[in-house]
Formats: sequence, C-alpha cells, structure tokens
Amino acid sequence: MHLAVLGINHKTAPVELREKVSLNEDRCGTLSRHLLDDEGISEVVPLSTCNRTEVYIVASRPGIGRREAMNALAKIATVELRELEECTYFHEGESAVSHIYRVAGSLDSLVVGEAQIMGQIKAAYHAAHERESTSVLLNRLFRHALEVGKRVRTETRIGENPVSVSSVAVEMARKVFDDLEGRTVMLIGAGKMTDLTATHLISHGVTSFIITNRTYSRAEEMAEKLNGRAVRFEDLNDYLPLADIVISSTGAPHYVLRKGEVERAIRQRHNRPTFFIDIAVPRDIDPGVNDVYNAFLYDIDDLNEVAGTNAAQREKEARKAEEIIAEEVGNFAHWLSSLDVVPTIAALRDMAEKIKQGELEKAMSKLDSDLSEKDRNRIEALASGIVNKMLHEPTVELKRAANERGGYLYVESMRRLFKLNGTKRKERRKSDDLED
Amino acid sequence: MDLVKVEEILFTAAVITYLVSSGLYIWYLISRSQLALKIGTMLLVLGLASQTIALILRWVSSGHAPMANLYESLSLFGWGIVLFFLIAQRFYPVQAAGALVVPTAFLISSIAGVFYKGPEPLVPALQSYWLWIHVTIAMLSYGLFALSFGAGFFYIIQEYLLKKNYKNVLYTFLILFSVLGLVLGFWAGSWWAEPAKIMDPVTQTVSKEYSSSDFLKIFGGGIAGLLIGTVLGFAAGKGASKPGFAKRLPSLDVLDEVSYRGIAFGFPLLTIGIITGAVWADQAWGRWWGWDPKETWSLITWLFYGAYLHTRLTMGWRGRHSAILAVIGLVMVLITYLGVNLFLSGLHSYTPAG
Repeated sequence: MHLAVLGINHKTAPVELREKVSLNEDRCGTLSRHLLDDEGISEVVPLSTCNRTEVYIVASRPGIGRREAMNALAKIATVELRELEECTYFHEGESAVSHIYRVAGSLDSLVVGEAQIMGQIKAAYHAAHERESTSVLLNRLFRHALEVGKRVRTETRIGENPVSVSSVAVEMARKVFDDLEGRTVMLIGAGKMTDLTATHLISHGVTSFIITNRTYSRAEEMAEKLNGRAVRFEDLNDYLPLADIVISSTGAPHYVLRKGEVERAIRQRHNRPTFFIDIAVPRDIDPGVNDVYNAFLYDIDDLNEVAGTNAAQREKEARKAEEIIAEEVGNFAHWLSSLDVVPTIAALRDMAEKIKQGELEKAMSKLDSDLSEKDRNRIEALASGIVNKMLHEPTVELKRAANERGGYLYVESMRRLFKLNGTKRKERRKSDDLED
Repeated sequence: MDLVKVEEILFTAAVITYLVSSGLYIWYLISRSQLALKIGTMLLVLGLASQTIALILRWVSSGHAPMANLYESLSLFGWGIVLFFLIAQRFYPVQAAGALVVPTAFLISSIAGVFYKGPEPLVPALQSYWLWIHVTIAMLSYGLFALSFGAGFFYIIQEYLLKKNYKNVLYTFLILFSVLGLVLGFWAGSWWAEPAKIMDPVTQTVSKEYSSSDFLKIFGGGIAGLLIGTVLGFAAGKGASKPGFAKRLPSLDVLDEVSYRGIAFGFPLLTIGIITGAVWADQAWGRWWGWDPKETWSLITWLFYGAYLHTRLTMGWRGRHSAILAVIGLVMVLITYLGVNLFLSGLHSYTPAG
C-alpha cells in the first residue's frame, strides 16, 4: 500500500520528449491495464496535460512502481528507456502526496496560478475511475487534491493577477471600463497576437469587433471568424471614434496612429475614454497618444511591467499556498496511517475487550453473591472465549489482506463498521460528501 | 438612566466604530484583505445604527429636531456621509473609496464630539418646523457631495495611475491633503480665537471683530493644519504612486458614475435647501435674502455645482475635469459650512447670539 508517482514535466524535459510521452484517452487505458497486470500494483491514474505526463500508482511494497511505470511509459510512447530515465522524477509516500497537491494548486505549473489544471486533474481522475483502475487510496487522494486545489484558489490570491500580456491588457482595460460587455473593439492588423487578445476579450463579453488590415482580405477573414466588421486600412480614422478599445499589432515600421488623429476621434466620442493597446514592435501608436485627454495607451513594455509585478505577487501568494499544502499533506498522512493493519487490529481488540469487561461487570453485580470463585472464573473465561473466537477470523483475514491488492478496503471497512476512530470525524464526513 | 446619558454613550460608540472602521477600510486598500472589508462594513453599519438612535434620542429629549447647535448639526453631517457611502457601496464596487470617505465621516463626527452640548431649548428665531426641513435637506446634500468628492478624488488618482503618471498621483495627494488641512486648521483656529461681537439689532446677527492675537490663533491653526495635511498627503501619496495600486481602486467608469450621481442627486436637494432657507428667512426676519456670508457662500456653492452639471450635460465634460470640480465643490461646501464662523455669529454658526 505505497503511493508513488512517476512523471515528466516542463521543468525536466524538452517539449519534443513531452510530446512523445503525452497520453490520450486510449493510451491512458493501455498504460493502466498494462500496469495493473503487475501483481504488485493495485491502482493507477495517468495524468497528461500539455506540460506534464504523470502516472500515479499504488504498489504493495516500497520499491515497486518506478521501474514498472517507466517501462510501460517507454513502451507505449516508443521512446528510449534511457532518454526517459534522465528526464523523469519519482516521488513516494508523503512526497508523492505533496506533489499532486502542488500540481493541483498550480504551483508546479508553467504559469503559477493558472486555472486549467484543476479541470485536467478532474478529467484524468474521472477517466481512471470509469476504467476502474482506482480504489480507496487514489480515490481519496484525487478527491482530496481537488479540494486542496480549490482551497489554494480561494484562500490565496494566486490566480488573481494575470501574468500573460493579453490578459494583463484585458485587466487594465477593465480598470477603465469596469465591464467590457457591449464595448466595441478595433483590431489593427489581423495577426496572431490580435487574435489571441480578441479571444480574451470575447471571454469577457465583448461581441462587437472592427477589424482592419493592410491586406484587406485578411481583415475580412478575421471579421468572419469574430463575427465583426472589416474596414479598409485607409478608412481607419473614420471608424476610430466608434472604438472603446483599440488593439494594434502590425508590422509597420512607422506609427499607424498619431496623436492628432486620436485627439480628433476622442472629441468626436464626446470625451468617452478609449483604451489603446500597442503590442507591435516597432510600435504602431505614437506614445504621445497617452497625453490625450481620456486616452490611455499601453505598449508592450508597459504590459510586461504590469505582468512582472503581478508575477512577483503570485510568488508571494505561492508561499502561502505551500503552507496550506503542508497542512493538508499532514491530514492525508494521518488518514493513511490509520489504514495500517496493526493499529486497526489493536483498536478492534481494544473495543471488544471494553465491551466484554462492561458486560461482565453488569452480569456479576446481578448474580448471587454466594457464587464460588471457580464459577466466576468460568463465566469470565466464557466471555473471553467468545470474544477471541469472534475476532480470530477477522484478524487473520485482515493480516493476510494487508499484503494483497486493495487490502486496505478491508481495513477501511473494518474501521467504518466498528466505528474505530482513527481518522478525524470531520475529514471522514468530507469524504462521504464527495462519494455522492 | 436618562435619555441624554444613553444618547451620549451611543454617539461615542458610533465615533469609536467609525475610527476602527476607517482603519479597516485603509487596511483593505493596502492589503486587499476581504476580512478587513467585511468587518469594516459591519462596524460602519453598527455605527450608523447607533448614531441614528442617538440622533432620535436627542430629538426626543430636546423636543426639537437635532440641528440646533454645532454638535447636532455636525453629527447629522457625519451620519449623512456614512449613510450615502453605505448605499453607494451596496450598488457600486466603490469599497476602496471608503479609505477616504469613512475617515472623513469619522473626522466630522469626532469634531461634533468636541463640541458636545446637552439638549437645550431653541432660541426663539429657530423655533419653527422649517428648522428640520431646511437643515435636513442641506445636510443630505452635503453628505452626497462628500460622496462625490471621495469618488472624484479617486478618479483623479486612478486616471494618473492608468496613465502611468506617478508623479501627479503624489502631487494630487499633497494638494488635497494640504488644502483640507488648511481649511480645517483655519476653522479650528477660529474656534480658539475669541473675537468681540457686535450685534445687528434687526437680524440678530452678530458680526465679529478680531484682535491681532485672534488672527495669530487663526493663522496658527491654519498653518498647523497645512503642515499636518502635507505630511499625511506625502505619506499617502508615496504609498499610492505605484503601478500596482491601480488594481486596488475601482474602475474609472464606476468612479465617474458615482461622483456624477452624487451631485445629480445632491444639487436638487441643495436647491430645495436654499429655497426653504429663503422662505424661512422671510418668515423669521421679514426678508428673503440678505447676502450674509452664509447665504452668499451657499449661492456660490450652488452656482458651482450648477456649473458642474452644465459642463457635463451640455458640453460633454466627463472624466478628470469633472472629477476636479467635484473635489473643489466639497472644499466650497466646507467653507460654506464651517468658514462662515470666521466672520459671523448667529443662527448659521450654531452659537447662541449675543
């Protein structure tokens, strides 16, 4: 009953290798079946995202798992075993628990604080659950990991400060407009960067786009995609007053928007503010535009600066998250230790002994006082005999099951059926809620 | 226990809650701790409730609306600010502005405490139902203007932050805090001075004659206020003039809207306040308008806010220019409300005539 994880991620391996070992649904299934064929392995959950591929396993003894998982992965991904060995990490026991919690809390992500990882873990776990490759231990671990991820996101501000250029641009625009719904956005240059920022804006409720590009057909293409309106490059200034947000990213060697034009547009807008985002290098928009009343200009350096301070803040929040994780790892370890057979048997015997003593005392006080010492001993022996006989089979069976696949199912059942309190009540309730 | 004692305790409790709440709102702005905001808002609501009961008790025990002396009137002013801020916070994300608005309410309420006076019968000239109509409406408009001021001030700060003009953030803090310090300092000095009083037999208005030592006290107060304001303004400005600070303030859209709404609601109230004042003056003194300093300044204030709405509605002003007007407007309100004491004693200065 030993938890372990073998993995490879953006910190340990180049993208070429990560691509090769990336696992789709089918390959996850094959890998799971392959590993479960091994006598020593009882549970498997593969987790594969664009930055990581990891295999969580439960083995019957320490030392099992690493080699098996590595071989299986190498075989399925058809990569050299040696190549894989150099780029993988392996954690066991508490450090494996800590690892999945850090992954769920997005502390191990390329962009610390990103939100997608929670969904990916959930999907990976559900898929594994479907193919019945999980049991008590990984069920508990993954559900707990999702809880920890949620706790990290709600109790720290790790996800609050955007760190990518396009999301920073949206964040700053929202400091001008508050709500982006119903705003009109003009895109100058139909390139990859404007496309990316537009996607971000759409997720914040923007529906109205004006697109212009030197090559008109590209503008039309993009307009169709965004359900917007394409205008000719020469007509840019006629449409400028309509735009609340202007995003420019052209390859032009000179400014495409000058101060005078912006001044005129804002006057036509009756001083309603306009937010300019210039992500082109060399710049598209005259820096003097920032001095125009109610015009706000952010170029790539400005955005990077904000992103930098945000990243520093995330680091600070990440330290808080580490504390939460340490605490939760402690909780999990506590539960894990309660699954050990020996203390469970001891608790069971203890309970039985207490019942026996209690019942004997009650009975003795009711029996005739002239009962002989011999008879009293006999009655005591009878009680002990019943208890011992009753407990013999379960004890033996428990000890045997401990070394088998899924053996702690018995331990867990025993603890529940007899209410042997080794786990904290609160935590148990939490896991019950999750079962529904 | 008698009503006056209970009222005093409730009022003191309200002032203390405002102080703690001010601290929490400022802490919220610095740390963005949601807990600080929650507790700060809760305390503010409790303080408002406590002050409301205190005002009602004062009404009951004095037998007239609680607006006759400076304590009562200032207490009402502070109460109005808190009330409108809580309403604004309910509908707009302007929590951050609480870091300026709540301390303002605390300051005004605590000044009320300095001038605490037990209930007393009204001087004959004030014995009229016009008292509570006129004063309540005027105070409500002042409360709304204070809200506009808070939102307008943060608009200016937020705009400079978004324009990456951090120097101007510092200057704006410096100017505002110095001016507020100066006005409040002058006013405090004027209470300290003891000018000779000359009574006008017709209007019962008393004009004041200052000796040179009185001037010394008044200017001393002004300069002390200026210094304290400058130091505070520098500290606050230094703290705020950082790129990350923009995130903690509401968006320009919201600040502009709240600042505008405050004046859009406050202006009609001020208009009614001035009209009721004129009607009352006619009944009490037999004249509608006498160009006393209070009347003159309230007219100037009225024209000023009228100009704000005019530039906004017909000339398309918005943003920083409007926000600057909203900030200056409150300084004018303070002059109308407090500065008049420098020159005048009598009905509007909340000191018994003679």
